Amino acid sequence: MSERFLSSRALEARLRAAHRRERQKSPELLREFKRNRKSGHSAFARGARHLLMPLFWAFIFYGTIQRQHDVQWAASIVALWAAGTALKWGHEWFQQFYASDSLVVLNLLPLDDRQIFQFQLRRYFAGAGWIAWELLLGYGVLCLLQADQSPPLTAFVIAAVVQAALVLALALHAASYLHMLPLGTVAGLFRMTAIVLLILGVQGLEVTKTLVTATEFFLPTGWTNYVLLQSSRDWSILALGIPIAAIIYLSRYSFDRLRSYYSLEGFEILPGPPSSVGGDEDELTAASFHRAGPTEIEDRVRARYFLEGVDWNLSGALEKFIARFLSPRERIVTEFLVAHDPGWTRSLKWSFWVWLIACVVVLGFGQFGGTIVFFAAYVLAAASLPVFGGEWKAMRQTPTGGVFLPGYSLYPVAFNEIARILLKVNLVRIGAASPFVISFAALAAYKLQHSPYIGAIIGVKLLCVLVSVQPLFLLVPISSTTNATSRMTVIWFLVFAPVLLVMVAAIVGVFITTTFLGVVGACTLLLLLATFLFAIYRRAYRKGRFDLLSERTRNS
Amino acid sequence: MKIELRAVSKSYGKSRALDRASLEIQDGQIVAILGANGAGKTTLLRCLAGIAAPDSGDLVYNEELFERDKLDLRRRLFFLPDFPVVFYEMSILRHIGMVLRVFERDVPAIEERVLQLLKDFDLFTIAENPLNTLSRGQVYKAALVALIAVNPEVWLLDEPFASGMDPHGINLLKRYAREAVREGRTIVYSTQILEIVEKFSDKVCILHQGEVRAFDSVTLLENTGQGGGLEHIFRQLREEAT
Repeated sequence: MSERFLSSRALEARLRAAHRRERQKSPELLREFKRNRKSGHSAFARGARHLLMPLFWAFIFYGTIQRQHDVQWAASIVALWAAGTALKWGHEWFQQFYASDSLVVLNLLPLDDRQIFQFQLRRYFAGAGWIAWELLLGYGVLCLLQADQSPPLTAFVIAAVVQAALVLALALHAASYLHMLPLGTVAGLFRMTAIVLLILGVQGLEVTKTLVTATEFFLPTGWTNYVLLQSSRDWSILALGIPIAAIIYLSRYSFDRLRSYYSLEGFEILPGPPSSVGGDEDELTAASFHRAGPTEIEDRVRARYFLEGVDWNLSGALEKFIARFLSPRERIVTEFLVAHDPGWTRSLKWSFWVWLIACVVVLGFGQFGGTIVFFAAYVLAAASLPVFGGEWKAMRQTPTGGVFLPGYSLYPVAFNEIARILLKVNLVRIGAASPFVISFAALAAYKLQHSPYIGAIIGVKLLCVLVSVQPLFLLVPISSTTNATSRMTVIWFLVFAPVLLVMVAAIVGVFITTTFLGVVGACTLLLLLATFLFAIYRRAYRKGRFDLLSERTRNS
Repeated sequence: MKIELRAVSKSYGKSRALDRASLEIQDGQIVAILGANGAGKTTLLRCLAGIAAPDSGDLVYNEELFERDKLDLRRRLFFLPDFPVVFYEMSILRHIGMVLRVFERDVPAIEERVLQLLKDFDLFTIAENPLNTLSRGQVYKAALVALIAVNPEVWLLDEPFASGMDPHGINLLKRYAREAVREGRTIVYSTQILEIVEKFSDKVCILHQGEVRAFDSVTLLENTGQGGGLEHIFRQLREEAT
């Protein structure tokens, strides 16, 4: 088996030509071939998704930023997003080269590490290549904002291309030298900060200026924008192009490093139950070491202990509180959905420690800039707020029969039951986390030279938004396990897209408005729209408009 | 429980998995779904379980139209895929307990039944072990024990004879299935193994490119196979396709 076998287009072309010749000999065979040809995961469908989704987000981005007409602020958002993208693709490097499903197959073939590297590299760049399209759209939006001023359109196109090369270079550097960091999480932080900056900028808060400046100074992706927007005033700024070029040029060495160190020796790559990978090791070890004797097992079974559910009274305080709102049947379904391990109090305790550290960080370092405050805020929000409902193990998908089936699809559990439980649990958890959010927001505002009262109000608004969009968030864990989106028709899209756009506007409205009635109105609108989408989805679920399975691969 | 499929069609993209498939399965029968790879066997079982949504046609259980949220109806069916979907960090016993509770079958004296099943399927001594420490065949046995303990009216089994179970487990499956059928249960399973179909089914449904090509007793089908049995029918279908 040679490397050419894995990547030989000539051989593939020869095989296709032979196949074509053979099927054209018989019209029946040709008809059968056309009938059986599948288009579900065609390159066209994938390409269309890569093309259209960024367009959708670019549209929302433009719709939001055009109110302020501040290109520097908008460019900072693009820079933060680009930095997040760079780290995301740094993280993807390891996913692709050390943890992708294709390795299971490749390892069974007589290939050495070098050949596997080549194969995976092609797949990596097939995905990373779309960065250029995303950035072109981002800079297109900046260009529209700057329509009547310099720089010209060509400058924006060049900036997008340079930025794409820079992002890719940074991804390689990150993969090569920062692999010990949780790159995926940090990438998420950057992207979330971009969204936070967008929301704050819409409100016209002073703090955005600090964040914009920090982005231009500290992020290489911010340098590109600085050159783009400022060099016409001061030509010396063009000198920033030197470090940018250096980063791009030096990425070849990072790449060489990654290539030369690539080895799968010592990595156990076996197809296995997905949940065993992320299992609770302490629990497993304890269970594995305790080997109950036959008599003991018999006694326990006779005592019906295996039919006992979670003892809600002996669980944590939050579990005990939530259980008060659950009917006996809902308790059983909840135990099933979380696989007997709710862990809500545990996560609340974790939130407390994160809150404490975030407060200390803001108190100690808040004066050094908004970036620190917002990073701390994001970490706190991610740790405290069950934005999409936390972990529901029955929503995990298991590969079987060529598709991925979620656990709940095989058991008699109704959609309404799941939704009711998710809603109750989410609301209580949001309520429990609200003191952290409000107190932190007040503290952050104080450190950023604003009234703590304003900060607290922003915290309350954030919680109101979270509660108002709950009907929509209830769908997220369910819809991620179905093929509802791939079966979405144009009519569905025409209903969903405008409603989502209005919801985005309503969220912005919640933060802009200064009156109590305004907040109530915007939240009510959010709640109504989210409930409307929820009702449509529930009807489609009950009527069987989509399957409770997904055909995606684990990595896509 | 009587099962009816009325002109059920199901496509994945351009590929038609089921093409106006109609069936009427009486209770107290073992029905084997037979067909070449990609004939639509698994899709048929998934439709029966409510996992796959038919594009058209109706699915009727005891004259009642199937809907996903009809829990009373869904508690009477149990679909077991070729690779069981379980919580791998749970022990066998915990898994069985959870399934019994979700199906609301944690009735008095069920523990004796569970004990018997665990012993029969050689799972007794490992009943406290997490599922992710077991072999594929053992995990399947654990899922099967849960199914038999629930004792549903309709068993839907996808490729149970290619599930990694040892011969002892396969024999037990047949024994328990026959007992269940004697009690009026209905068993629908898919397989590729003709010898098993000949000995372990009351009726055979032959699927070909999503269409139900035959649905009859093994004896009748073998007679139409011009002495060559089911294998001859299969060969004919393949020739027709090519």
